[in-house]
Amino acid sequence: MIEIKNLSKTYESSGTRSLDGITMNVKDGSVLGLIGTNGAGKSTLLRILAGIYRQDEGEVLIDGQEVFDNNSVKSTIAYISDDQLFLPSSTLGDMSRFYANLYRNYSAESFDRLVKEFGLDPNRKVNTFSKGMRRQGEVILALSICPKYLLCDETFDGLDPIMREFAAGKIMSEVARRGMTVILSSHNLREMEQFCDGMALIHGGKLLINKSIDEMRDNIYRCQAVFTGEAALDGVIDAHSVKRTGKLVSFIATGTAEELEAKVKTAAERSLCSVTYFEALPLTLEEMFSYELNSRGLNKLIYKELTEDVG
Amino acid sequence: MINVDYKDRRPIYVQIIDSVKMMISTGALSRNEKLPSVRALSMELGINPNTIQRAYSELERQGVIATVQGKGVFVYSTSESVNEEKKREIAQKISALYVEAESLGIEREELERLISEYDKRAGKNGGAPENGGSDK
Repeated sequence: MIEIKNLSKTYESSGTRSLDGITMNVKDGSVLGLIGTNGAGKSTLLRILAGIYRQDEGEVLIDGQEVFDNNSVKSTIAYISDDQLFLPSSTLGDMSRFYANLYRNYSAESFDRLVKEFGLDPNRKVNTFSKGMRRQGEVILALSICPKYLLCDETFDGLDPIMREFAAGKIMSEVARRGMTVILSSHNLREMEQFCDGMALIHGGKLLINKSIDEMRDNIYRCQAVFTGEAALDGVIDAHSVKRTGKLVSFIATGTAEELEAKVKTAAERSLCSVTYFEALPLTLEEMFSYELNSRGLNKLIYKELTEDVG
Repeated sequence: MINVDYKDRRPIYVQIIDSVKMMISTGALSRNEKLPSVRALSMELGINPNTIQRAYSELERQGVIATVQGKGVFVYSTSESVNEEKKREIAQKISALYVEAESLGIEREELERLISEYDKRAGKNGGAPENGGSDK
């Protein structure tokens, strides 16, 4: 398990407070999406988790141990940096041999198999690879470490859709097979749903939202209801984005589908009419975040940046 | 093929559930046939295994599939029972649409006209078929 307690980090050179009191836990076998705009603090957090940076305040425990300068813990963590890190004029084969010396559980067999599956030449110099191929190379090396924890800093943003799916499949298969824990950062919400079971939104170094996707989804719905008369929702349902077209009323509200249906019935009874139709539709990830941010009085700018297409 | 479309509004686990039901309904999957394991499917689709597990658990709860300890996941429903359920869903959707249409002031005759127009385009009831059946 990863335990983060009141974590803060200020960069001395610029004086920017990149992380400001972050507290959260990441359960084993889960896949967490770390979402935030550029400069929100995602990369700083991942680098502290990887044991590259040291925090100013707070604590990071991985399996109960401090990470910084702790080789035995670091041997269980694979970190795919946003800046690609290869030794000068090395091949993937060279990197594999290099990693084999550093990581306790490194598997050369896994490397050989993955290189074939991805269709990369292990004897070709990495600096002749395209950016996407280098990314694939990093995924291969990271998985060959057989890590318990995999940290990916915007790893999927640079891959074409087919390769993205393929690389994700390899990672997800390790999550299923041996309960590998993954943290993926991205500044784009849209494509996180397929990978993640939990989402953490960081903004200005602070953790704004940290929830499981299922928990979020089972507690918020876009409801559509048809009443026989004018039903007032106020006082019964805390309804947002209310739209009325004729007798059809649509709104967003929190609660389980059953709770909302009961509330809609109560609203109808109070207005001396009845419900002829009710439907609770799930929200998309984007809609859920938009709702969460608005309900906290946060401006829409954060949301806008998170949902714009990259590239 | 179990398919997932990330632009689809439905949650991924719902898409998987619908996809399995569709395959049973069309006969692509028959009773007692084995489904891919959670791990195999999560690798094939690049999807979080917990999401696949949720879809499988829900399908099992609905009696569509059954897990045999140590052997895997198998289709339990017949296409008839899945189709029955689909029919109920369609009936529900139609009643919802009907209510919506009513609230917009669309008359019943207008709806009937739309259905027979569709029949004509699709070449049913002796109407002349058109290419692809879509009008632009």
